[in-house]
Amino acid sequence: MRTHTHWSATPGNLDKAPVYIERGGGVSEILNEKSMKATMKTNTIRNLGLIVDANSDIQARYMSLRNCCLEWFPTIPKDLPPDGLIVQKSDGRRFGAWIMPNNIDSGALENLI
Amino acid sequence: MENLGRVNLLVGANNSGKTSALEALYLLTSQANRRAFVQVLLRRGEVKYDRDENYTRRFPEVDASHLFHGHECRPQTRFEILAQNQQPKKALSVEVAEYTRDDVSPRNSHEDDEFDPQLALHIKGYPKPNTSQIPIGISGGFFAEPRDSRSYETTEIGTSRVKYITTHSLGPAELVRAWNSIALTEHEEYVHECLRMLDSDIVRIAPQASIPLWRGESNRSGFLVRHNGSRDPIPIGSLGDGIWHLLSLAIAMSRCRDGFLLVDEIDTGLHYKVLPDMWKMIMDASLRFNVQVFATTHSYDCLSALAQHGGDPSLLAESPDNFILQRIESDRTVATSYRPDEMRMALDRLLEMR
Repeated sequence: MRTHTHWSATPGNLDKAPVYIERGGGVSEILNEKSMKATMKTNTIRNLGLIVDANSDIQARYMSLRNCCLEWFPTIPKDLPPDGLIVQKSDGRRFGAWIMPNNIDSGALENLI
Repeated sequence: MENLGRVNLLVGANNSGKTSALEALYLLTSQANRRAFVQVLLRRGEVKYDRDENYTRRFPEVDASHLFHGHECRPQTRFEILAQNQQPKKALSVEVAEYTRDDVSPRNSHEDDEFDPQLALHIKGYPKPNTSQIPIGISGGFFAEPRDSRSYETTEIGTSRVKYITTHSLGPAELVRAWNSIALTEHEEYVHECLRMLDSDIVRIAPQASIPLWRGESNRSGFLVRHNGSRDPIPIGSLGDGIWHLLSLAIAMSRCRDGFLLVDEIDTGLHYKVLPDMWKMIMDASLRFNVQVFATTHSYDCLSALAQHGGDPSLLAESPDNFILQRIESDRTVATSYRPDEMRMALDRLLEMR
């Protein structure tokens, strides 16, 4: 993170982050239709990024993420780009996703570190 | 607005159109009652002022142009209001066109000559509007009261029951009039129960029939309160704006059976701790009297209270759309709606809904 921003991510300075960071809890709490609806209806959110663990099956995780967000971002590709996903709607809202550890392998944040 | 509920809370930034939405609903649900047009324009202060100092109007005129987009009132200017999914459907169209003179109307006063209507608001719709034509004078306004009821005011048949409570609440004259129709009925006790939500020491209230009512919407006269904290009855105005506002809401709800209640800034004068009870009262009354409610607010406490206390959970399970939040945005043609479960999720996650 420090290579991209001047912000040092420690638990004590989440509020100083250059973007609003919400701790989503379990992946099932993030990748569900109701949660996405509440998020996308928030008009103060212009750009949304999701970071989730792949765990045992990265393809299954990406499909569930894609299905969950397709209603709002219909141009999400069938395959997850290895550099991470970024798509934009016609109204300018952007959506990005990164699946830990590297958008290719199954695993989790811990594998990246 | 889509996905309407039994109770609809309208939110949005200042000048986004919340009150305009209420006004459109008022014109539609009152079936274009002339009083509704006048009330909408008077609330906005759209009164015609005389530019000629030598001439003073005997009757106030309201400026018709402000009903229309671009504030223009010329032939073929029009607007339409539709309730597409309502059964039976409701529709209203208002168009500026040539005034159709009614030969039966007497037209002999000096004032009428000066008014000299060439254009009129022609009103069509379903169910049949209460008013079919409102003549517009040469200065672009129309009289706040009809000059001759025979000429353009049809008999009020099938008028749906609708009350529009502005930020000033209802005036004393209207409340006392409404009280007369609920006195000594079960509705009277219902109103007392509502007032006790705010002040449990209120025993009962009674109108002051012999005292002339002061004019003006902000006035708080007309009722006395028997209060446990006082030996003598006290004027209701001394108990604060919150009591007056609850009195307006409770009386209006009981008078709108099978109809509509429209409330601008529903939390006016109420402390946030009272808001859950206020919503409980509104939800219960909307079911009891079969009233569909549209209200606006800017307050986070108000929408939070609705999301968390807006209904009995068992009732919500059966009818999840009992209440809906509608966010109106000036740059969007469709309002964003939140169902109760979506409202609660957004609240839990501290997502801004207003």
